[in-house]
Amino acid sequence: MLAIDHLRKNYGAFRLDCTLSVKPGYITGLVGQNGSGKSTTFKAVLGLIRSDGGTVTLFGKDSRSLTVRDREELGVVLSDSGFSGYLCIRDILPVLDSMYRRFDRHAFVADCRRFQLPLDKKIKDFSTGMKAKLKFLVALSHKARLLILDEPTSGLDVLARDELLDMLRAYIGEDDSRSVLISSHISADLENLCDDFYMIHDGRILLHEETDVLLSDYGILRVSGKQYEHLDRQYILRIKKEAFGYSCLTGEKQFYMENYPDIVIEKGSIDDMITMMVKGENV
Amino acid sequence: MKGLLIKDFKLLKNQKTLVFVFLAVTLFLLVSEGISPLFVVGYATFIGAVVVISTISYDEYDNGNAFLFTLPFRRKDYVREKYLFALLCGGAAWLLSTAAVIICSYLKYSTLSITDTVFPALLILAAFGLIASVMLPIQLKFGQNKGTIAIFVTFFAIAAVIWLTSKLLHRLGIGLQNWFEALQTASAGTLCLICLAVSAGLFFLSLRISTLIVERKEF
Repeated sequence: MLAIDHLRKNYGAFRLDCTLSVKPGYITGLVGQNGSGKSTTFKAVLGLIRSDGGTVTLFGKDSRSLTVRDREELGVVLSDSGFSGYLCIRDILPVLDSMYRRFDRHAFVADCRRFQLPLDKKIKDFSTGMKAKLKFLVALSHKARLLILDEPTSGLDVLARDELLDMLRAYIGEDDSRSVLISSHISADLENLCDDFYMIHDGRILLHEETDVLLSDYGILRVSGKQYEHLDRQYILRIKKEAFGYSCLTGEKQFYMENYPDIVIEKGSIDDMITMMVKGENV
Repeated sequence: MKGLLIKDFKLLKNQKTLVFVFLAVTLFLLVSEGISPLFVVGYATFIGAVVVISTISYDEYDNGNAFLFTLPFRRKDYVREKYLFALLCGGAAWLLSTAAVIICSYLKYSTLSITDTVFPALLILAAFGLIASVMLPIQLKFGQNKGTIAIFVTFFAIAAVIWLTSKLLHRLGIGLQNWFEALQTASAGTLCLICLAVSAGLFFLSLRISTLIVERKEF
């Protein structure tokens, strides 16, 4: 569906070099801190910025040679951009209708009403949450095959976030060839949604793993200095010095559970893993 | 392109106050004594150009261009749509104001002079083409904030180039006098046609330049 191979973009001292892929039927998460390169990657995929190297393949084609019809197959949410604030929802209905052959006007208006989005109010007067909901509904309104969602839940309260993520699951469930590339700074959102994850930091992918594997096999060992000295470190990915000794990130939790029953092993959230990958040191 | 046109007309619709003020001023100018009817045509047509520029600003508002350019159209379609919209807005403003001026003149004097109304109005249309040809690429290149300054600088630069060229030609002994005399001997209709043809040529050249600008732009 989407393949990015050594996509490069330089902004002053920042260097992006990103390789990732989104398989058909997959929801792929891209997580990382602010300024890690998530939005730059999204913009390069969408052709909003020119890359300095590498390739982006979308629907089996070079992204630069996508036709207008190919672009109809994309649904996009950008964290910092949407329809002009001087328009209202009623204004954008005929725009979407004439741009997307599969725009479902009836369902879109119904969704707007369900989320209490006023049709005749200018978008610039919407709250942050209302703008986020609208962007999300627009992306889902035309039965796109690939959704590219940059921080779609930003600015939403917990209930609205859950509702939109449920909609996203249902959207993928309707047609198993649909795929999603999604980023969020709330990694708990993604933990329950994504099939696989890419962790990006300083423009580079630090880790790629299936969510099931990440949650079942990865863990964080909390060990004292003495325990650390006797620890078999062949499966340790990162270590971090702590007041009590060391935190160690492993991708083989079971090995340590079986061989070191005295060690405290935590399951670890995606956030914990990001912290370990970014702030921890190589063994 | 149809979707983009709809968007711009919706943006225009949302500027109701501006449109009403513009209509009121136009009507006031039409009925006022001592104001040349051609000033009314010039005013109305120029407002048409301002409207087009304002839609570019609205597209840019709050970084809106980034999302806009993910929608299914080609970048060159965006540019073509802006030029078409300019023709529609400027053309409509010109046509309506010219018609109003002709009707008012006829009602006032019971005669219609093509030479005094239609030909000068055609020259204003040619001037509109020229103004749009300069303003559109500058606005697309520099955006709302820098665009206004860039437009002033460009018009100043054009005036300076014309002045320097005429000085240079004068020093080289190539007089422009003959050209002007030739133009003066041409009929008003021919003069209008020449001006419209030059304006149309510049308009298409400007379209090509704007396409290059937008195709290289990053959002």
